[in-house]
Amino acid sequence: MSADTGVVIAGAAETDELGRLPGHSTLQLHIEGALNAVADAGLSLRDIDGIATVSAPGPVQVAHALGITPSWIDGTGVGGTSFLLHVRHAVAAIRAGYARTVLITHGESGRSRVGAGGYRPGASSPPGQFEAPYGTFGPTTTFTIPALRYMKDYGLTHEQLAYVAVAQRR
Amino acid sequence: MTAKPVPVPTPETQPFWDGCAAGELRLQRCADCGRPYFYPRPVCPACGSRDVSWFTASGRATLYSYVINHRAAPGFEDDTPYAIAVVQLEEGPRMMTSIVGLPPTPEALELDMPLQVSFERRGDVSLPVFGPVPAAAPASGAAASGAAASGAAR
Repeated sequence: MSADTGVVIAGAAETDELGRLPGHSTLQLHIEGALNAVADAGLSLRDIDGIATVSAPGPVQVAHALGITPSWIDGTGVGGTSFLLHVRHAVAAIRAGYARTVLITHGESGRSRVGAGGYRPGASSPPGQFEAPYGTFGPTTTFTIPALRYMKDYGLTHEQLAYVAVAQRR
Repeated sequence: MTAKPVPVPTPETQPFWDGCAAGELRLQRCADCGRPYFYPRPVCPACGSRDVSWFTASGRATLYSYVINHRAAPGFEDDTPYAIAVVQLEEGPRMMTSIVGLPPTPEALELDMPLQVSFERRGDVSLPVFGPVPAAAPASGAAASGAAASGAAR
């Protein structure tokens, strides 16, 4: 990335432990990963002037928790690709001069659900009115439906799809 | 146990849910480009026109695609496995729904099979669901009384 943009990923890290962590809230997972990433970069929190994270808990809560007053924030939340967009947005912000060092955080108390929001969309939203009542619950119930149609329309087989999963594990 | 989600209408979707309560599947059509669409909203997603109106769809559809879900969404613990489907309405739009009256198996769910709408009570609303088209109904019975009921309503 640096050759094209002049921007580098200076550090990256995970929480101290991974797996089922009922002793950590969602926000604490963000904080722990953030502190480890800042240390990995050889920086201190005083160097951070930009925060990007998905909308819950959101960049404001993360910034408050870390005692950072950012000059630039991004709360883009569009599902599992959010973090790729955060990196692109951070590169653009740094090149535009809005920030020098951006911290991108994520954490999910996926199993323990400590300090975590619900999965259910608002009952008045389009998904809440026209999808959730039929028992949708994440990608396995929604991404699969167009995939099955694609298989019929184009002759894609289960075996061919299995090649993808095998290749990705190499 | 968490209850199943119940849709809460907005002013823009209320006519759709009123239709379901009356046993009708109501869609919108654009007066400018002529296209029918779903889900309900006061602007045509094909051309941006605000000149749209409601009409009653036939309730006939074909099975566009589906998934047989074994990991219950909260509230659906007693239903697994259950089929979540997208149907292609006769008028063109597609909508997500549940499949009723057929076992949730690949053998019973053949893509492009004909389906017919019915309505299930869920809290304060009637939810459109789809099942097999009834075998050619005799002249008397449900179909005739349904026609009489809608005639009387006019």
